[in-house]
Amino acid sequence: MNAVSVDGLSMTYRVPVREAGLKAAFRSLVHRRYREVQAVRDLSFEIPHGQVVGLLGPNGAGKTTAMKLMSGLLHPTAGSVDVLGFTPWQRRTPFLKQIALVRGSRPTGGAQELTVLDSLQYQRVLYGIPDTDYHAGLDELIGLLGLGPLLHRQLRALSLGQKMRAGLALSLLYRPKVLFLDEPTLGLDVSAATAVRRFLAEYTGQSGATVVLTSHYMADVESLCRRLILVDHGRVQYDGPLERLSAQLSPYKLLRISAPAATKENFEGVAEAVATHGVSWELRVPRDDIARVTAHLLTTLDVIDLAVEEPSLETVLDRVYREGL
Amino acid sequence: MKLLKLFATSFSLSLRQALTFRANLVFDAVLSGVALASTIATVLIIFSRTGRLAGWTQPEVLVLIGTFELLSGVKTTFVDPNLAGFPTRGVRQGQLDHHLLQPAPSMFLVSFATAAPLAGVQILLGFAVVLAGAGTSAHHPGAGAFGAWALLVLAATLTTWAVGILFASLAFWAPRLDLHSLFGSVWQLARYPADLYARPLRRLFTYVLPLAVIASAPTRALARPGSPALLLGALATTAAAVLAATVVWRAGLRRYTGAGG
Repeated sequence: MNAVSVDGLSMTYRVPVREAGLKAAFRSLVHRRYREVQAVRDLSFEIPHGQVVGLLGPNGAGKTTAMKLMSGLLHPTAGSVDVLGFTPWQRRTPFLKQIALVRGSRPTGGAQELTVLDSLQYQRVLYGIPDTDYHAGLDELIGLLGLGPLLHRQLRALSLGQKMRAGLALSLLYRPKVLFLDEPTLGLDVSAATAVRRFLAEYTGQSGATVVLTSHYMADVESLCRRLILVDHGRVQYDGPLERLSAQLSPYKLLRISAPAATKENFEGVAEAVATHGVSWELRVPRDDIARVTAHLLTTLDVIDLAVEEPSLETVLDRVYREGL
Repeated sequence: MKLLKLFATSFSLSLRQALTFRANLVFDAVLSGVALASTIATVLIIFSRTGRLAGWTQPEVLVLIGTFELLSGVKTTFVDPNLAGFPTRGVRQGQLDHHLLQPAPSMFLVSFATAAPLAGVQILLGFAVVLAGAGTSAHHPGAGAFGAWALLVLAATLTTWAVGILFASLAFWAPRLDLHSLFGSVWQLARYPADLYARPLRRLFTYVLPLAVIASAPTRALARPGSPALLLGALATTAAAVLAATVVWRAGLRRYTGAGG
């Protein structure tokens, strides 16, 4: 059985529009015009229990709207969503006790004057967590997230990285079965982002929770997700394993070659030189030509080192976002 | 039961926070005392010139002042910290998103997430003035009158909260509209006897903005006991205000599309 099933999901926002200028501003007072923005259109996918899925796409692709629909914040215009057997936007108590939405833009909700420990105690009452489970879960989260020094500090006094750690503790204290992570490393420095990533990898491995993650940082996706769903203009553009994404979406491979005597002319008509560092060259070669080009270079140049690589996820996605599939 | 436990937890957490600032407690007590003393002094000056004010005797006006002070304390302790700034904090900055995904009614969570317990000093001072006023009343109110007063104070508390929710709910239609300060200004009109106002205003404060049930109705129940119509009318007004708040809140939530980002 699937933890999350999304079928034909669409969401349209009605937003007011007005032309530039004072006259148009006055006209809009009496005659308002609207346009419809389709944030999500006909989205369908299924996520089995325990799977960690990356929901990727450029800005405005509809990822956050999809997250809000799946977590129950929004009612869709069309389609259906089933999360753990519930319709999310009905926001039934048993459903809300089994899911968590963690947003990098707002890691901690609730009263910001409370300390981290006070907020955790409030969560215990709100979610009806038995005392023994609360203390065991708290100890575990304090250890994994290094929360000890933060427990007695007010939420509003925490740095962004600390807020994210506190936000994760607050959301995971009641052990949700489905976790929606919307840009969990947004704005964090390298160390804080690495710590959050390490924690999430460890937590998902231990808890078996189903996770849907959106992020613009490929390191998040590569370290956590085996499956990617690529969304653009509100539609699913790719749904499959992370490893297959490059092969499917990029018609090129990267050929790194070290050849002291090589010049740009050696590669003309053979491959596209995209970068050079001293005696090393980075070449872009069509997938089907990789064997032929490699053989050609080995016979015509004095090669010290050669490696064939898939283009980075970042490069592939950048090309897909700019040029489409 | 769970909601009561949540309310107690959130109040206890706020109290723990507040008690760490002892100076604030002292200042709050002093300021509340000074404000109350100046109001009482004004009343005593007025009654040194006249025996009645719009038909109200001095002990009745003291009960009214005490009741208003007590209810103001309740408003400042529970309603203002949560509902003032709701359009900005709740709707535009997305705190409502957070409450919507918590397993408890959103209207409850928005209303009782935090509290300003030090303002509770006002409640105690108000109650003391009510006792002083009732003690000097010619009617010598008994337990029944105090029971009716307590019931109507509870009804007035609910009405205050419901009106606060109604004002806050308007943010679903106009997110930049924060009418809580307007609510605060209008609220101040409840400190005077309802009979003091001309008939059109009195009708407005009874049927449109239920200010008459805030302090005047409980005071009447205590100072002039034995009016079931007053009791039933005030309770009906409270029920209508709570119902209206619930309906408008739900309608607003249906429009809500979440904060951006």
